[in-house]
Amino acid sequence: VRRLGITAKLALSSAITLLALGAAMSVFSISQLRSLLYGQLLRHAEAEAVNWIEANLFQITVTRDPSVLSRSVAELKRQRGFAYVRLVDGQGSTIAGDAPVFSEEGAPAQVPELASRLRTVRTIDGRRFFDLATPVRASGALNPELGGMFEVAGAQSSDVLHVGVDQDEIYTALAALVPKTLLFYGALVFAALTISVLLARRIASPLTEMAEVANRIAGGRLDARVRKGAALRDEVGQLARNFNEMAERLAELHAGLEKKVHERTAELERANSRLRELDELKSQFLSTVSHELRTPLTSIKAFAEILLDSPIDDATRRHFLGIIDKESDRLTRLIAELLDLSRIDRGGQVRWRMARIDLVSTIKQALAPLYSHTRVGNIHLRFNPPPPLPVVADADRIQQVITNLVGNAIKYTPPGGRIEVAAVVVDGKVRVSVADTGPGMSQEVCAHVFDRFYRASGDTSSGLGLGLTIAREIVIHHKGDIWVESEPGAGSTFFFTLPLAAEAAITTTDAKESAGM
Amino acid sequence: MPKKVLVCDDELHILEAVSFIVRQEGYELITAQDGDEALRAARAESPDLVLLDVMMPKKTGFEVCRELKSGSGPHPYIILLTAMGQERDMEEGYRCGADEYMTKPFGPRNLRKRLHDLLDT
Repeated sequence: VRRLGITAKLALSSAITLLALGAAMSVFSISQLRSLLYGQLLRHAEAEAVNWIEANLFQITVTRDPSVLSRSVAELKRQRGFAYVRLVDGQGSTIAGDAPVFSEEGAPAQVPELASRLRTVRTIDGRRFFDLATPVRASGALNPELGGMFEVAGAQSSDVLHVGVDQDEIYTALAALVPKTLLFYGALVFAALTISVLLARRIASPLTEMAEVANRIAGGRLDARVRKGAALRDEVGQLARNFNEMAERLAELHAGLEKKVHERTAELERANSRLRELDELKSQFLSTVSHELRTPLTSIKAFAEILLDSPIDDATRRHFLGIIDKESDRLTRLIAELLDLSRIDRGGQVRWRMARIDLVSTIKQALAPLYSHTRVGNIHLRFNPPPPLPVVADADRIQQVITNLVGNAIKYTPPGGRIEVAAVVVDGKVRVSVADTGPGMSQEVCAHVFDRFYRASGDTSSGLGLGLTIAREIVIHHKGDIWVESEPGAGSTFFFTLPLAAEAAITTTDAKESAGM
Repeated sequence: MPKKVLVCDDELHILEAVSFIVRQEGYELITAQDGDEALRAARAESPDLVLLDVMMPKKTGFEVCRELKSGSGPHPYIILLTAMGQERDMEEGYRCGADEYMTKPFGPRNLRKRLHDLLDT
């Protein structure tokens, strides 16, 4: 029973109740019917018996002619369809009529409204009768012969009239009624069952729907909702609406969670790809570092061994030693550059010597040693100095920024090209620019040019590609910005800004005007 | 008639050192400073051996090596001289058909020995 659906359970319980009720009603009505039939039959028989006694009272009590009485008794038996009729006296001797021999006699039965004594008897051959014994009462009777009322001694009469009513006949009559009754109640029960099943289905259907929806939600379809059930106004409807609300909440939570997971995953992916990029850059950098360090070392090693192994004249020896010296310097510079980067890398550990300085003279100092490099390629390096621009900065570091930017420009500017350095005040900040007439860069290269270890593909120039990274770190530390504007074939202009020192607000306007000229 | 050796490196000091060793060993010397120049010189002069740097402007040593070893006719011996000392670079060098692969910094004694091993047999 536990495995049955709710509809089946409801229907089954109604069915059991209805069937029990139907059976009880059938049994009850049949037994009622039987009592009714018995009562009617027996009352009828008694009335016949009493009528006969009254009609023959004179004959019984006075005349007592056996042959007349026998005829009358036989007449009664025949006319009324009794099984037998028999008149006996006080001693039990038969006065008239006859009766079968009884094999057993039942106890007297009580039927209401019946004055006669009633017994159930059975004959030897198994037939059953009601034996109705009606005593002959001495009451007034009409004497047809005397034509008037008379008193008879019947009051003292002990005669009894026995009439036999065949029980089997009643049973036959009853038996004919049973199928009809059963059919009637059966039809009734069937109709009630049908109605109850329909009702059960109607009651259970929102619950079934809810179960189905819950199942779907459990299966991951979070948009499933109870539709029909939610429209009901009863407790089930309330339950369905609460259920829907719960599902809504669940879907929202799930969506939020999903979104969060997506976001996190994307974040992680970004971080991961950034790490991979960094890793790639790092190994590229290591390979570059190794290459760049090995190159001067190769010259040093080669010439040292040549000098050791071969007898060489003085001039050549001096020339070779000069090369070893120069390459050693180059190695030293490379190592210094590397150390610079690693110091800036560790951020906090760098000692910044911040002081109020004049940026214009810092630029001049930075440019001074660079002019010699420009002569080789006949490059015009120009700086038109504006009035002093006070900033709070580490002079050495800012000088390094300028050296790196201008050094780069010199490296990439073809012979005969120009490099223009300028410093102006824009929005309360000093903006330094280094413009060259070099080959320029694509957008893609511009986007990465400040990245650590980055070298544009196809760039075979020497150097570690750290100059711009170092410059950026320094400028950022000074709360400035650094960027580049460039187009392939149109040269590049690098910019960086530094905040002006606060107290110098008045002089900056002058600087701005003169810079604008 | 002395054997011809082509030396190619964009680093002038290294070029000078290698050239000095080649000349000291009595070979005829040709020099180049980038990949294209090396190919031109090799075609013009048909050297017996080429000493190639890998990281060069215009064409890398690997490319030059591949081209020199792919044509018909007698191929020159090729020694790759490079500061790229990782194993995969070495494998790449041999895949390009190089006969020797020397990592910078190299010892001139070692270089002399290789030159003789390849040219004097």
